Amino acid sequence: MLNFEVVFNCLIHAALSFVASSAFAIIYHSPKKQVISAGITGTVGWMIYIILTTFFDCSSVFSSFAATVGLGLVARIFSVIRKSPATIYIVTGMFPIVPGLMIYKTSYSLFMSGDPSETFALGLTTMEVAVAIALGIALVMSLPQSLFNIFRKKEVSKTDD
Amino acid sequence: MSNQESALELSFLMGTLLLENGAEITRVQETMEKVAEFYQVETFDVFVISNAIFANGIENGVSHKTRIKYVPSYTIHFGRIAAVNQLSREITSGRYSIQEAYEKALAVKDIPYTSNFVLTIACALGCASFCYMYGGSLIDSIMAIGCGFFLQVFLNAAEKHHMSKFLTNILGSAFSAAMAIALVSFGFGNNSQAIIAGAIIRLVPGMALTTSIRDFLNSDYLSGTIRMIDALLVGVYIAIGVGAVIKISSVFSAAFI
Repeated sequence: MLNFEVVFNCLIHAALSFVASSAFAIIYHSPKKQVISAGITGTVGWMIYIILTTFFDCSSVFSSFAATVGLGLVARIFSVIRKSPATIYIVTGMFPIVPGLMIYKTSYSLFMSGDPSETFALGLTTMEVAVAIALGIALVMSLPQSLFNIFRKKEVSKTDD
Repeated sequence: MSNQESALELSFLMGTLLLENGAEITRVQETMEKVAEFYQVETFDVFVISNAIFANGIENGVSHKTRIKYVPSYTIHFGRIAAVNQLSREITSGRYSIQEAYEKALAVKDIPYTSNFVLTIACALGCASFCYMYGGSLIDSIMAIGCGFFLQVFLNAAEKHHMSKFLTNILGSAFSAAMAIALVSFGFGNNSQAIIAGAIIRLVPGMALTTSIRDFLNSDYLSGTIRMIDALLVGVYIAIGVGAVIKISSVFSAAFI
């Protein structure tokens, strides 16, 4: 249930996912001004993912999709406000949810476990999560730009013209 | 006509910059076409895959250009991608002559990489955060700081000496796993799996796999296949590195206990 410990744990996860996404924004040489925004995008994605999987018992595939859509929307808004490509925020923001570790686990079980059905199950989940994330990005990126232009600052749009 | 005044050369330079620094295929293609169209090049055709650009165009009726550029590998550099993106917006708003734009594009090439010191600190903190997020305890995360720190020190050295991708991934993951297992067996930290997971998150190809599926969805089947094979191979390298260390350490502990 929602008690102090659960809320505290959520806050820790929020803080850590912010640190993690910002760290990977730095590792990918993002412009210094964009690191904080990339970190916030990552926090949004990871919080959606962790809340859906822990409290609502959603599958990792659905949670990844929902998290990608959520962080993608935030990234599109940042991209309009800060006038940078949305990819910068999306790629670093989705770092916590991409199935990188699962690729490793799949090939690890291929070499070490000697149990083909386990390898196959892991590989299948990996592909499902990757496809879910890619579909989420495709959905968000195909939303028309005019939807997001309401976030554009007035004085910025004047100098733009 | 010098390179500096040719819109085709400008478009080609910008495309190469984008691809070298890890932009998506569609972005490379769109940017190149946009620049060529804005400067009213008569004919322009470009075909981009994840490791090469093929471009062909006619400019001012006389100048025929065919260019092929092979980009074997790249380091992701979002600073440069954002800079080229900004430049292409400014070009299409009609702010620059071709020569000015060419100079701006050359300046993008000189945007520096983040210093190794900052990279190392970022990697250490990132690995520690991931260790906790993937189920490690507080003490495990503190150990992951050390693993992440030395992993990035290793990666910096590997890049300096142009180590191959194969060796970098195998040695890097073996090194992280060895450190994690040694720390746990000396009583620092209690879950070596979580520490290993936190450290190798720096190497795993999750992003490459997702980008590959995105390429497939954009009908860039060739680029998608190239990236998919790349992602799977890197996953195999990491598993070999970690697996070898775990096998060796279990043989050792069986011999001594």
